[in-house]
Amino acid sequence: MPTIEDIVILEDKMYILAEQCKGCSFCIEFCPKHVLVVSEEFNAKGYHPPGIDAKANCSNCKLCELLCPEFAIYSTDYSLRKGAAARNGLEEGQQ
Amino acid sequence: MSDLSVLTGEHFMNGDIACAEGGLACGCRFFAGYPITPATEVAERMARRLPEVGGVYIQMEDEIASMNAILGASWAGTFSMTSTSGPGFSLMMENIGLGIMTETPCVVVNVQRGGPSTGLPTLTGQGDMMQARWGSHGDYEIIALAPQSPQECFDLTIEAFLLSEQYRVPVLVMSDEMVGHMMERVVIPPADKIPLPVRRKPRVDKDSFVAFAPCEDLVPEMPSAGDGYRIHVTGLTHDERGYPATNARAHDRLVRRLVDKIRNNAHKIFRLEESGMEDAEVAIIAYGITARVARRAMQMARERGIRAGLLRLITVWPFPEERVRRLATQVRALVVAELNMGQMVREVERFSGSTPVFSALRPGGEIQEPGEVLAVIERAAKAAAKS
Amino acid sequence: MRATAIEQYVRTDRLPHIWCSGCGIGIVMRAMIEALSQCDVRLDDVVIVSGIGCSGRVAGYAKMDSFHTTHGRAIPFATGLKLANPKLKVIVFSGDGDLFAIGGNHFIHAARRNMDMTVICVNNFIYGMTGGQAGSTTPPHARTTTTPYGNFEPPFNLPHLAMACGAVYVARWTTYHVVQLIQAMKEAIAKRGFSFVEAISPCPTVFGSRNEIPTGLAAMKFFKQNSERIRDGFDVAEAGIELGGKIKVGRFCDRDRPTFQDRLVRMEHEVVSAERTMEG
Repeated sequence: MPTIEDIVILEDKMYILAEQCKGCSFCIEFCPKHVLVVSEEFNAKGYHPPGIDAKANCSNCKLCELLCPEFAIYSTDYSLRKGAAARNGLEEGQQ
Repeated sequence: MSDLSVLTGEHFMNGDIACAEGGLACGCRFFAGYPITPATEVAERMARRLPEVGGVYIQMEDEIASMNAILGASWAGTFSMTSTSGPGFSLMMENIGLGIMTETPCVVVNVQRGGPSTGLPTLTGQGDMMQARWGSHGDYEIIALAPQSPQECFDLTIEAFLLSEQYRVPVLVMSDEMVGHMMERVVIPPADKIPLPVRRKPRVDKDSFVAFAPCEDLVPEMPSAGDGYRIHVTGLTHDERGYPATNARAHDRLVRRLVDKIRNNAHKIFRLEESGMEDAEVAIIAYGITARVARRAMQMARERGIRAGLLRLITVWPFPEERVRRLATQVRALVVAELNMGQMVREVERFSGSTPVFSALRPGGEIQEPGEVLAVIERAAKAAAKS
Repeated sequence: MRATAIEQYVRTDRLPHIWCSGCGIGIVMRAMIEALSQCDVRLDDVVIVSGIGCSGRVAGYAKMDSFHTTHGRAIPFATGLKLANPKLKVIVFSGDGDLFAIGGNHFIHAARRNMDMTVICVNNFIYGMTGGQAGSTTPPHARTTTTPYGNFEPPFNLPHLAMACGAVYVARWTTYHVVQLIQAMKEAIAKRGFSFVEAISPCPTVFGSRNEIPTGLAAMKFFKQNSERIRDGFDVAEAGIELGGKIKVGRFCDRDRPTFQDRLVRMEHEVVSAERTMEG
């Protein structure tokens, strides 16, 4: 059974609705694995949506999803890790 | 409908009880109210009768809560009503406005008493007539009926439910202490003779339904909470989806429709009763309890050779502008008798053209003597003869 | 819950919503829908009733039958809905001002009657929508637009009030404690009777900015550092909140009382039919 350290985060694991983000930083601050950072980009309203620290390991705890007041951040389901999506022809969101 | 909801037969009952029985007979199954003289008997009757017919009675903590509870019950798909008098009517005003804005059918009975303020809790008045029309803030149209007898309390409460469902608007039954507390013969017909209000439910499924898109008569169809239509209902100015749209264009569209909904259909809403109009030279306009005094005064006038007629407003709002305008051209003088310092008389004056308008007024407490109204009719006839 | 499942619960065509950056109302709304997704409840039976204020806007974003009523009056409206159709799962979602100032009377009576509904109160200690006036939960000494010299009124202790009035389930968490908030809401929604969940939330724009908590993030960090979970036997009278003080969080009570409808049905069976038998 893989442990948390075995999970490798790839940038396309986080789905961020950048235009909906209001830059509150809750997800960045409270991610237990420090996956998220303040990015350099701006959205149309002038907020910095979160970016991803490629060195960090997301454990898919989904705290960012629950803490986001804007419904603007989602992480993929565990079963789609490690290229499972590509191998099995699964769509995002399926289990 | 169970036997107990329609007490078919002849009864000797007061107007308040008759209002309650009218509601029950046509399917009202939710009452939320608060005690207030002289309307308390409506609530007491409902408290006893609703459990007998499988309905729900709840005494809320105040009239504001009562008005909101009946709106909520209506959205759950139930015919609902409340009753009150002047002070409670004032408290209900904001949420009558919510009912109008959200197009929620329900019935509010106001058994009027002398006002303003605490006034004369146990004595009659007709001082809330303008408030019935304008009491809530903003622009809107309302339907208000004025019973003149316990029989009419029964009949017009049913009428109120029919109108409220047809036009998706709260309907006011403007009773008064005298009609509410007098006991008279009330005939309750067999159940199959009682017209039942019909909730206009959506005819399309939830994917096609647009919550506040009006039908041809400007009234939208109304699903109930729990039907699966997942609608949003707000007191904010909203668009046809029901979503808040707080801009001038959406406001113009919505408010005009709410107003036109009643105005354009007014000709179907009016209920008027005319007597002696064929050859009348003086027309009396009255409603509710004072119409009975006016009728006696009309008879007395006729006995004295004055050709008097009576136009009784059964619907007080919307006001029958065209009928009064035409009437003013057909008679030489108009007399308005009411138990206030001049409320409906202002509406009459608006449409009387050059025909003089006289009034027989009392601010409540007691109804006029027929002789008082006769004196005004005679004055009107004299003035008419001179011109 | 899968990302695409949000669409079942939220009117995504209306996003982004109107709440400020750093406001916690969105978190509380998200917690409610997470709780609903984990409850044994048909979404078609769920009705959200709200009042006026920032928190009241939740009704407009929730994809259930939802009613955005007048200020303070969500609870009586909800009462009418529930009594007329007991199958409905009625959730009142509103703010501290709406529920406890203008709406206070309705709250205490619905709790007294043990009306079967769940009341979720977003407590941000302020009247946010109107620009930051003091309310009945504003802590002492707080600066607001109507307390420019500092608030000198004592605020309500909401769990205390709710329990005293008869609520059968009372819990408080902050928007930082999302997991616990979801669990509390699940319990509250499943609970028969009048259940109450207080969700402490930031309001950086009009409360925090005037009271040295300039961002939502600062408030969330404060909640994280200064919340104390209550233990069994905790005296709810000690659950008041002061500026800069500890916030007592947890489940204050979970008890059973007959609901309004239980009593109504009992009356109908015992009394009404007995009278009819006597008459007949």
